[in-house]
Amino acid sequence: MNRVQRAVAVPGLVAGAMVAMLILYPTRAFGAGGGDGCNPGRPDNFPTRYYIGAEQQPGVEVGGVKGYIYNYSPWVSSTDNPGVTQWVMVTNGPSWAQVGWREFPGSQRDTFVQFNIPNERSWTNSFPAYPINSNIEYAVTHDPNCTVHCFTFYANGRQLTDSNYNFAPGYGEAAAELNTQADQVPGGYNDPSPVSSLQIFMPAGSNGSWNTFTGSTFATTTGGASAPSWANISPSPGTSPNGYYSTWDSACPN
Amino acid sequence: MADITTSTTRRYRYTHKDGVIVACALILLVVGIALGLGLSPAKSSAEPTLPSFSHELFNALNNTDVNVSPALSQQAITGTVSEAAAQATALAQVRPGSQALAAQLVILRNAQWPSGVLAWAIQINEAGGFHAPSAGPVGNQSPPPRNFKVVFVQAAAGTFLEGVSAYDAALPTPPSIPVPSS
Repeated sequence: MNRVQRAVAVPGLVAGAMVAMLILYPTRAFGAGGGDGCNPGRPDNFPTRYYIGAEQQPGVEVGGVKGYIYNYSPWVSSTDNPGVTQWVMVTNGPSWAQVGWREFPGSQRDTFVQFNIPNERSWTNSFPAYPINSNIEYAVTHDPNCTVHCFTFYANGRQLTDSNYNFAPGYGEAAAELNTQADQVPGGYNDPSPVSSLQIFMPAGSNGSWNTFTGSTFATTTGGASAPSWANISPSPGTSPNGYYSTWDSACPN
Repeated sequence: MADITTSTTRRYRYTHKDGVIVACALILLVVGIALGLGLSPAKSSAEPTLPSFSHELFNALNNTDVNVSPALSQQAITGTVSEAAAQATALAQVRPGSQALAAQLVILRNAQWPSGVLAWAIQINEAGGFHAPSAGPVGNQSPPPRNFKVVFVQAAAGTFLEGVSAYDAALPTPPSIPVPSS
């Protein structure tokens, strides 16, 4: 190696090191998630909501809902700031307690808890996400005789948080929620996204027990109208899920 | 007189010195890649310190499911990651383009840490605005409002603990940040 070669090689390696830093540095700052689905190619109509899931009104106070939700990573439109979610919930009118996964645009994900009693208490928690394509049990439980810990939220058997505020839930729900038709429903037509071992605790309190979630499935949009044909659920809307349902988007194979 | 022709055309022999120089350059390359992979801007202590939390923000947080109080000064002295590192961890949990507004070392008490954990609390202004992730049960079409978000980072380990967002009328809504084009 002569002086000329040396003069080129050393600065070249140094410059290479600097280029490597520049390339690798922003990649870490923004990298997130992998993504299962596809861009369904539908025009944006944010904020129009779509719910695909199941509901049960047992006629008694509900003590909880739990089920395994597949952590599918759908296409999320860049306009959908709240993101696509999939969750279990206990609710009564405008009051609810829910836990599930959320994906923002760019495959950024978290585990979220949301509690809402209008004009009294409302907040959202975010926790680290579970891996894409993992099958995680999410659960919310309700103690009707509480003074504290009226609602407790779990993911993968781990207690996430609780609420010291109370209401009497009359419904159990589990659903995927989209905020624009430009989003993808979790699942593809060749590989639907499952919600399994779905159970509801009833009646709330010490006399209750976990039971298979029956009720009925739904796929709806604003005002309760039926969702368009691209939003699919099996068993079909209006049918008992009997503890299991799966969802998919007609535009995506997987 | 020196034979210039001979001295300029002879074959160069690799020497020990050349080996040292090339080895140093390779080490520089490896260090450069390592720095690119391992360092975040938040670990730089050169970044400015954010304002502390307002009394109103503490109140707003304590109206959710967490209990937050300022850390005592002696708790904040040793064994904590830098504020800049905590900022970077917090910003990695929200949409790119979001900004940190305020930072405070706090004692966070929640269901997972009932006795409290020393944490950096970072108030975030989210790119694209504040949004509740869900509008609630099927048929509900109005998500609850949100106007603040705080991300908690464990002070000792620098790991993300949780984020909390809600609405509090006593808090000003920060200016909106557009979502950066991808």
